Amino acid sequence: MRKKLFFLFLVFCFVGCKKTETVKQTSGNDNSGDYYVESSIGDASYLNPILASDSASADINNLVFNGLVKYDKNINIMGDLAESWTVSSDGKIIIFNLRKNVRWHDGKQFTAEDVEFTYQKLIDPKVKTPYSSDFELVKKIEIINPYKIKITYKGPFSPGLISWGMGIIPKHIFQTGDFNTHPANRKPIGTGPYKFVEWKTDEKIVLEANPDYFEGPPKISKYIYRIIPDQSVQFLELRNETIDSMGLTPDQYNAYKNFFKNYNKFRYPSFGYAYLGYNLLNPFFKEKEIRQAIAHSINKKEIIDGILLGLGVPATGPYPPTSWAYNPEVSDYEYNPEKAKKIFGKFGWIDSDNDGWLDKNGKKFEFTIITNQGNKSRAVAAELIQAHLKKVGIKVNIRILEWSTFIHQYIDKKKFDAVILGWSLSRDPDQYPLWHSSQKKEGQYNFVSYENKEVDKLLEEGRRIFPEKQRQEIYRKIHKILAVDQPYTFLYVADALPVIHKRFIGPEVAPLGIGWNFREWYVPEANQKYTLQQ
Amino acid sequence: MISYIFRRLLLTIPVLLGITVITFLVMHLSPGKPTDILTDMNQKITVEAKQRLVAIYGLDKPVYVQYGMWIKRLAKLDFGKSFKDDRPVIKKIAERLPATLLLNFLSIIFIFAIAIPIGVISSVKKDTVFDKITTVTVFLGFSVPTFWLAILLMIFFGLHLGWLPISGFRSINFDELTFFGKFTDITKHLILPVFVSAFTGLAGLSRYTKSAMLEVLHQDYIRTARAKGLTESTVIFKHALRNALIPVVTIIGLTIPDLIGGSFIFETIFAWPGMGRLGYEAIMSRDYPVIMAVGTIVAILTLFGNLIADITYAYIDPRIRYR
Amino acid sequence: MLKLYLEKLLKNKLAKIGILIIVALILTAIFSPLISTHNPIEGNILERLQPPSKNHFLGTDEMGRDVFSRMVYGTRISISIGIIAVGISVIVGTFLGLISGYFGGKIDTVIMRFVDIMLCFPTFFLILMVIAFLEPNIYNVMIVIGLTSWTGLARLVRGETLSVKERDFIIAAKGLGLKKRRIIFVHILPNVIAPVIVASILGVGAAILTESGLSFLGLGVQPPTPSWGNILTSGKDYIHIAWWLSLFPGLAILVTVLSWNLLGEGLRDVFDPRIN
Repeated sequence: MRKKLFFLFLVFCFVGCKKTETVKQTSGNDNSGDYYVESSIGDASYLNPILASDSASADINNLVFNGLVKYDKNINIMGDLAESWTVSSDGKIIIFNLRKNVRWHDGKQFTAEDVEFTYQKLIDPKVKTPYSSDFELVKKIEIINPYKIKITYKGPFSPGLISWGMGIIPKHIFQTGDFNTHPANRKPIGTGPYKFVEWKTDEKIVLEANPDYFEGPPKISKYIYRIIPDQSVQFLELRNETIDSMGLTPDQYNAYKNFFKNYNKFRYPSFGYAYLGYNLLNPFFKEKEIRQAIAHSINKKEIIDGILLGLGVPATGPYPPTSWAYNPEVSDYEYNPEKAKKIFGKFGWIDSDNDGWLDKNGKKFEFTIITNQGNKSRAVAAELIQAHLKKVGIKVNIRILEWSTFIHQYIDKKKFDAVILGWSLSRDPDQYPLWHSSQKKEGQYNFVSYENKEVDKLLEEGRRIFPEKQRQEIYRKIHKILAVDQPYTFLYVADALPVIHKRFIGPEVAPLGIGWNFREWYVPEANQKYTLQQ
Repeated sequence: MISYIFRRLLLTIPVLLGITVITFLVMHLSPGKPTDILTDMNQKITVEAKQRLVAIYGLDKPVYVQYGMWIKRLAKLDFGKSFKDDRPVIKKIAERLPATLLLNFLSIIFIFAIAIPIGVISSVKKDTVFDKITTVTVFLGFSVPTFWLAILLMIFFGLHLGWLPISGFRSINFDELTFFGKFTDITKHLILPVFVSAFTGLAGLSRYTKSAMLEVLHQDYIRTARAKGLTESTVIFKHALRNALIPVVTIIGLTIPDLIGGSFIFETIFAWPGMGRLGYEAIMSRDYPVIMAVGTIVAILTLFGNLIADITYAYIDPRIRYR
Repeated sequence: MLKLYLEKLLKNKLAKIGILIIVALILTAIFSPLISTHNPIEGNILERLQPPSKNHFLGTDEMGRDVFSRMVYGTRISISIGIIAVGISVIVGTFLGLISGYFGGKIDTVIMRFVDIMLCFPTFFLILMVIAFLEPNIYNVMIVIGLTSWTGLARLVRGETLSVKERDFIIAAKGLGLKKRRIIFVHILPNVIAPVIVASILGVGAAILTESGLSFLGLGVQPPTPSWGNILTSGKDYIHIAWWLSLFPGLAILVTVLSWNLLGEGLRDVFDPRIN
């Protein structure tokens, strides 16, 4: 038995060993070829951009479908299936001119009818789409000619333009049969750079390059999406070079260098943030000065060092630094417990009975932070904040709740003091559902009950105005006001940490992230690992 | 014989119904709705949209009505549609069943092929070194957390030695392989999961065989056989083993629920596209129709295993008549 | 009688090792606050993932907590889960088995039908479902494991009861007009207890393993409360960079479950009348 255990122990010590890799020759001549193997914890649900709401489905749909517009690498809106567009001066009408050289993967021509059809499905109450709200503001849609389509809004709605980045689906496929259960939801036909090949449930999804893609065929001939449900096994496969790409945790990112000898590591800020949200109906958090004082008591640097190993930046407001709405003039609250204590004292919170906790009129400053199960970094953040606030004399309790209970019993019903959560943001800075005073009802997203007339007005205006320069001014104002008001204490923006196998040439980090030019990535012929048998 | 089988089949119906009732009650008496995961904390989904989803899924009706609807559909072999992707549940299960059956079938074969000889030998050579070593070995298998053992083996045989693939059911270039290549590929992928499954499942059967053998070896007819001067191996294999194996057969049926229970962990760690993972994912996302179907299918498999065991039992044991 | 059994048990070397380890574990569980060197719940995040050292015998975890202290407190949780879950299953299983065997008839049919149903259920599936739908915490884990593992025991006790109740002294007791309750619990129970003890000792190990499996699927005892299962599960994700996080809990579970099984096997031999 002892021998056996010793053997097991040895297994742990063999780290960073290397397997020989067989390199095969291909017959290609322009460096096209090879496979790209990606992995995911979960399987996709619908390969239909209208129905899918999970990230695995989105990964595939983004390669198979196109919207009318998309973001370029610097997050400017550019044409995709639309060649160009015009917005009327009152902002209510958008006219898209569509590309004429686009064919669906089955050979049919793409036309304005497909766009109209996509819209009809988005607002059809029978269709289980989570995306209808953006399109309910559309008054009517008219086909002017097969390559020109006119969209009229009930009122000016600037996030409307990018909402047409929604993948367009083929009318000729979906017009017969039930939409929600249509077989094409598992065998998608799109217009995108990759064509669907097969989907082996919970095993893999395979795509191949579309030779007729309107911007030219992609170089990598197959895209394989492997489902590996366990994080440690996924990393094992990466070390074995059996997968080419993976998003790392900060610990994995910082692991031994020789784990990544054959990989390029990338790092860029993700588009979202984690926050500590206050229930503003709670008397403790009524004055913004108190919330500011709490912000002064929280050591964000320690949180970022502890949870993200420094791979992130403090968040100063509702926009991450890579957003054009981010206001660089907003500075962060310095970590200064002494200053915080002074502010608390000004509002009557002092430790009158010398028990280590602040009190006022016989009441102790004590509240509970809740967060959801299954997110380690949020739990750690709660514990660190607990320790930080202890230093200024505020007692924090922590409750970690199962997701469904957390949302329905606590958040929706506003039965909480403070909450740690994160938002993953869309690139458009419209955050009307989060901050507008009309969005405080049960189940809506302004669950902290934030209300500020000026912010309301700015949010409404931001949705009405189109030129980015003017919108930027508006959202920067919002950023500044929210930083002062502190309905949330914005904690951090974590870095995304992908690795990609070294044989791929072309990956480049841009404000949009990393995969924006995937179509142009290639593997020099000599380094190609997989070949298609002729 | 046929009427015996028929009567046994009839007896399984109340058991099956009981299992579905329990599953259904557990599911519906708990907090949370299946639409939660789909809709919560997605800024793009409005309250109205959420209510619409609840109405589509028929979750506003009372529990017994929903159960009645479910049974009615089951009678037509219709398990309904998955909440997750709206596909017929029966199709989803059909996709996963082969991988799970292949793995569990092979494990059962290996377990029987290894555990029974171990049990026999350690009963004959009780208290010898062989007995002690096998006792500790089978219990080591029983005692090790399967997922931990699996990762250690993956690191050793997959990453370090490079002999075996780490996870999955087949390689990504599987379709381009020859028939023989495909066979080798799947075999290679099977080695680790089957080994872990069999090794961790040896204890029960080998212990059971051992005690059954010990009991038989004390019987009079064995003494008689020995007294007649038959060789030891004839005594053991012809006379003792045959009689000891009769009760062992009944274990086949009872092994199935344990193996399937293990599949939940196994298939997750080995990225094995089987039914255990389907069931686990369904539980975590409250995909009611899929949970019900997985429970029912597993119960059917178990009952089927029991039936085979009972028939074999009746067949090899002359004392049992087809009452 | 007891002394005889004990002597016989101690002659079995494997069982003796098992007993020693189990006693050590139970002492560890009782005296965890004295044995642990650090707070098992709070750690210094800046001292995370340190290998074993003089200050941290088994290193620190991803939150900077002392692994040794977590293991020590985890002993308490894991052993409690094993013992309490088995306690529940022994009480339910023995009780239903006695009643079923003694009274026979309709009661027997109903109970045994229910046992049949439960035996066809992949227990782990049921446990997963109940815990996922309630809330994964230590109490639910104990109760659910206990309530799903009594069926084998009920069958066993029923069988023993059936044979004991035909013995002369029971028939005599009935003749004397003793109350049923007294006959069942005073006269029959002691005669069926031996296999119950063996089964329950084996059950403790199984329950500890079940908890680790649940933890792997995220449905065991929830962090920050330490159980061996959840220490191993979170350690597993660091197996490439911090081997100590999974090695020690893995070995602890292995050795503990093995010990309970060796003890159970030893007891089985001791109680077996054939082996004398």
